[in-house]
Amino acid sequence: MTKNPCIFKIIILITFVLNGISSSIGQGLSWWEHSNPPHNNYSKELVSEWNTKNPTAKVEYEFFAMTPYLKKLTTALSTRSAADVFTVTDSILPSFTSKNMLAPINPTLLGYKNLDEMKKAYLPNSLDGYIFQGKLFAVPVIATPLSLYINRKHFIEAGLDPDKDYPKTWEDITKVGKKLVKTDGNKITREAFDFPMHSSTWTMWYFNAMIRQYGGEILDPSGKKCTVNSDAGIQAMKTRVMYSQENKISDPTVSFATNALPAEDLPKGRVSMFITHAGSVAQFGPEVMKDIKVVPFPQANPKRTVTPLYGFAIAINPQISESQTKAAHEFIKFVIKDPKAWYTNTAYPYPAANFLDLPGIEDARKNKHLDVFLSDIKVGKYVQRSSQILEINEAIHRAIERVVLKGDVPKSSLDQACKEIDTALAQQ
Amino acid sequence: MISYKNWLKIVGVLFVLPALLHLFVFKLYPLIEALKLSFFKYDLMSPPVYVGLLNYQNLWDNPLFHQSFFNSLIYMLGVSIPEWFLALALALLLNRPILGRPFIRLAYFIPIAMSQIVVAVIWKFMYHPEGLINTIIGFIGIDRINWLSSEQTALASLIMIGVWRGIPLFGIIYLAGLQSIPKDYHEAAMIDGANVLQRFFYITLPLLLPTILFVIVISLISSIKVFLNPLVITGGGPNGSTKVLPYFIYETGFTYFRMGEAAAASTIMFILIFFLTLFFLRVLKKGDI
Repeated sequence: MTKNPCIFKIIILITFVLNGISSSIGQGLSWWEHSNPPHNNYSKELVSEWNTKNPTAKVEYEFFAMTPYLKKLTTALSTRSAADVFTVTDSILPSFTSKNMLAPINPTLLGYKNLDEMKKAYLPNSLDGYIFQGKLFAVPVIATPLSLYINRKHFIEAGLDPDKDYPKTWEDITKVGKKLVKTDGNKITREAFDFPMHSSTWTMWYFNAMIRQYGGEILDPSGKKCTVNSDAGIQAMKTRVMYSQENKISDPTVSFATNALPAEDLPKGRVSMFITHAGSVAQFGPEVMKDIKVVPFPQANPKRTVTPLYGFAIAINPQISESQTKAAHEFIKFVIKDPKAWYTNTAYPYPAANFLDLPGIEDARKNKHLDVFLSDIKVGKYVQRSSQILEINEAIHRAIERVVLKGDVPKSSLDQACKEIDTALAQQ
Repeated sequence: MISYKNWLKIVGVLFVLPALLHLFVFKLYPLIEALKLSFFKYDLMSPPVYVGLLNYQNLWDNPLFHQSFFNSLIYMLGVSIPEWFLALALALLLNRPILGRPFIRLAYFIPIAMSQIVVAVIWKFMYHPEGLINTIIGFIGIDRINWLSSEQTALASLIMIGVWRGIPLFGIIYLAGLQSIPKDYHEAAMIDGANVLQRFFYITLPLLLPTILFVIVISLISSIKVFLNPLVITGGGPNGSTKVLPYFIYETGFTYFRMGEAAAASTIMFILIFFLTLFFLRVLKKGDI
């Protein structure tokens, strides 16, 4: 420790001044994302372009494997060491906003008069997942529904016309499924249809939409009580299980065991109809997609259309300075400047209102089923908002496993799920 | 002036210092911190709040914790007990002069040398409804078994992997024990007319007892700590039937961010392992082995 307190004070003063000067000269930012090769490649391109144009305000880009990413981000936010901007998935946002871990997005800094005007620039519902208490907390870069992928060849083999006979409702799946399924004695050698069953997040995406189609919700409006064991929940569960138990067109043990990339069952011909996201078009590749048709997510009631919707969006760290927050807005504005480029580079639709009318998008509308994805996004709804969403996902996933794999009664299984969910909610 | 004797003492301390530092920094300190954390509510984002025994109460009321606890016990016994006997049988076999013994020893060691994640992924493929195991049992007329999607078989499937991986390791430990038994004892017994079984029960087994106890303790501890296989192969499912304590702790802490509750579960697991070890050490001491 210095003997002269004056010198000590001067050192502190100089440190502060230098710190202030450096932060005002170089508004450098850091940006974290989850790992997704096409997405990361495009982000890197954007960062490189930005850094060339803004040599005094460079962005450092890093991405991490999806599972540890969330843990890293949460830990980093709590220790004030997170990146200045970071990409998050919609379902996890309430966990952050409930603890003030995200800075509100200022639409005026993105070039909009206010949030209402910004909403108009996006597809209906597509900003909903990122708005809390009237404030926007993240700006979407991709949005995707879950849609139904069908194997054209299998349809034609079964005497069905894939362009006319594709299923519109859950009941239709049974009808066409009975023609598509292949069996050897009691054993299903080719499933007509299956739900993905490898992860609780996927389960929640489609099952939440199904419950909504029957007029229900996972939680009550206050978000503090589980209502998944309602009539709508039971009906959704009965629909979920009827293909394997009553109609014998589906074998859940196959999808359950085909972990990591369950949609692979479709191009491999193990299943004729499968529910997956828009990114699967790129994952399957053009050769496989020649035999695949994408149709809207099946409905319980065509008058009450609901499809699952999820997305990724860029958020701002609330711990950064005001000037850095401004710079972060500038950077986000730059990142979202070209919706078509996002689509062509990542294969996920960008939820801009005018997306289908953008020049050069016609080909994707014709050949990459973009119309279907966009129409599904328009009636899409993000999953239940709750800061306990991960526990809710797991409880519902277990409820489905009990019914589908073990044969439990839907009502009792959902009652148990509700007990688990209520316990989790009580610990908020 | 430091005497030579004291100098030796200082050098001795310096030699063990790195190990002691490692023990304190990476083992003892986190242990104390985890114990402390178990009395707090902490989600990584908000400051910790003291809640007394609430985390332990929550665990007591949580059926998933009970399920994980019992799954861990079943897994621990299901893996360890076959390991004790099969590894001993393997060691006895490899201790005999058989053709190609060095090659067989090497081959048996491969499961331990392989990366755990690779092993997990390979077994996952083998357990697929249309995977290798079902294909093989299909040849002998057994119907397809849904190894991983049935609550009845999922944990047993993981136990089989654990046993497969553990046998070579403990086999090698037994083998080292067997080879440390002087041959003179066996030769003397043979001259006295003792048969193979008598030599095994009256010479080999008593002299191998310290190794056996070591294998018992290590196999119990390593099997109760299993984490990667449930994570990669089953994700704790179906319906929590393969959710073991370490997986429960990981999920509670790093998925649900209930760090206090995860620390409480870790403390309970530590106590379980501690008393198991203590019990076997007592047995070891009582038997003067």
